Amino acid sequence: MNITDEELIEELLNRFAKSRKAFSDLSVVNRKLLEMNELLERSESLKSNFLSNIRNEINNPLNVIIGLAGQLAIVGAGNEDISSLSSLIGAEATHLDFQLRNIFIAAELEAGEVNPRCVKVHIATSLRDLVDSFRHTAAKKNVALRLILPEYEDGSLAVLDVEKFQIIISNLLSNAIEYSTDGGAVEVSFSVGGDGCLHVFVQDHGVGIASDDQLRIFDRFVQLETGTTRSHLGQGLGLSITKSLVDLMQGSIELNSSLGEGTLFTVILPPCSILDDEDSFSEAGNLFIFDDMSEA
Amino acid sequence: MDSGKMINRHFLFPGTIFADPLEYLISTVLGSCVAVCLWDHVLRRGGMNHMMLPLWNGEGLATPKYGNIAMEKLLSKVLSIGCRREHLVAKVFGGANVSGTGLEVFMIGDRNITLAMGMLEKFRIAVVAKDVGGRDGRKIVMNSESGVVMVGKGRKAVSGD
Repeated sequence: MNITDEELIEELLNRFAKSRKAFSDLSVVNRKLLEMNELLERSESLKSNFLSNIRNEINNPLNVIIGLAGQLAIVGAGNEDISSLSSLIGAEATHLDFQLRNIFIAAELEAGEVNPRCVKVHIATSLRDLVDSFRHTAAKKNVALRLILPEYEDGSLAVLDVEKFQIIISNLLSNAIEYSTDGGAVEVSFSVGGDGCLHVFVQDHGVGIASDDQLRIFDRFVQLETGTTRSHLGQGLGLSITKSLVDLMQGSIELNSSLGEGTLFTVILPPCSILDDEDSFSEAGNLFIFDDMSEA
Repeated sequence: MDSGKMINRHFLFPGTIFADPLEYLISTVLGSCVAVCLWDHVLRRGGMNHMMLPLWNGEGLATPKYGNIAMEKLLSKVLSIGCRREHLVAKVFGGANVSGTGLEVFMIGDRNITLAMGMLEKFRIAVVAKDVGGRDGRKIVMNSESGVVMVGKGRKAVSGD
């Protein structure tokens, strides 16, 4: 096809105009995306601050309710109606407390204000307390809860932050029970490696997680089954909190699962080595004054 | 620094932030992580963050483990203790290439440094001092009142990432 020079120039001009238009459209979209991103960051931060601020406003009355339910059980001992009502109030309030603890720790993690406070912990006792606190929930779902202690390591101590450790294991236990089938079992065990790392295993024999979904489960607000028909409780925060807390404690979390065959979660926590000790510079390190701002 | 008076101390864990109106010695240990110190040279107050990875990808919790979150949160934290944005100066540390591989995908240290510097430029905060990159881990201690940061280096120092 023959075209004249004028036609060629006109066609080229047209094409240039089109690319200029596309480029300017793209710039507008890009600017809008950046604005949206900033808005998102701002709303995330507002939400986190709000949650860390209202923590005490909610925790205090809730603790009073749990305490009073206990008192009521003692006072009303002998009266079947009162005992069953008080134990129901206690169990529901404790469940609410667990959910709220998760929401608050998530807010603290997002605000960067979680500070591990490490102490020596008797692992078996700590795990026994945790397992006992889930007996009621497990019984309701007809799930057997077993704590398997190593024969010779019952006296093992670990240096870690108890509160964070409890939240990690509670979330794994809660999940294991929630996703167990009727009449199933959940087993909790631990070992201490030669390197001093604590390994805690939480095994269920429930629905399991398909390999494609295994990375996704640590995301926020993700429950593999969604919509109004979903059959499992919770807000989908538990595993993302668990992962963030394990990261904070410089440990790792692994899962072994296949659909229909249950899931084994392994949490590996190194002994808390970072203490607030000003003189613990490395042997090979050289200490020097880097810079004095007062002179800058 | 050893004037005999008791100064509060805070160890900054990876993925956390600290800033307080009182005088504190804020310390942390860095490998490929980057810590940014923001300090108001007029008010003489400041704070520090400790990022492990450059960008939050929208998955998991939006914690200051990620550089873009850590920088925004540190800035709002130091502003909340009374610092003025126009009086802020920054010091940047860490970002070592501790794994020793030259592969770009593993060079988290470099990517953390680029992110921190880029965010500071966006905030228009001057970087008055930095000790970044290399292959050695660092331990840093910031006096939040004087703005002085002490740095210790050594391959054994790395217990943070």
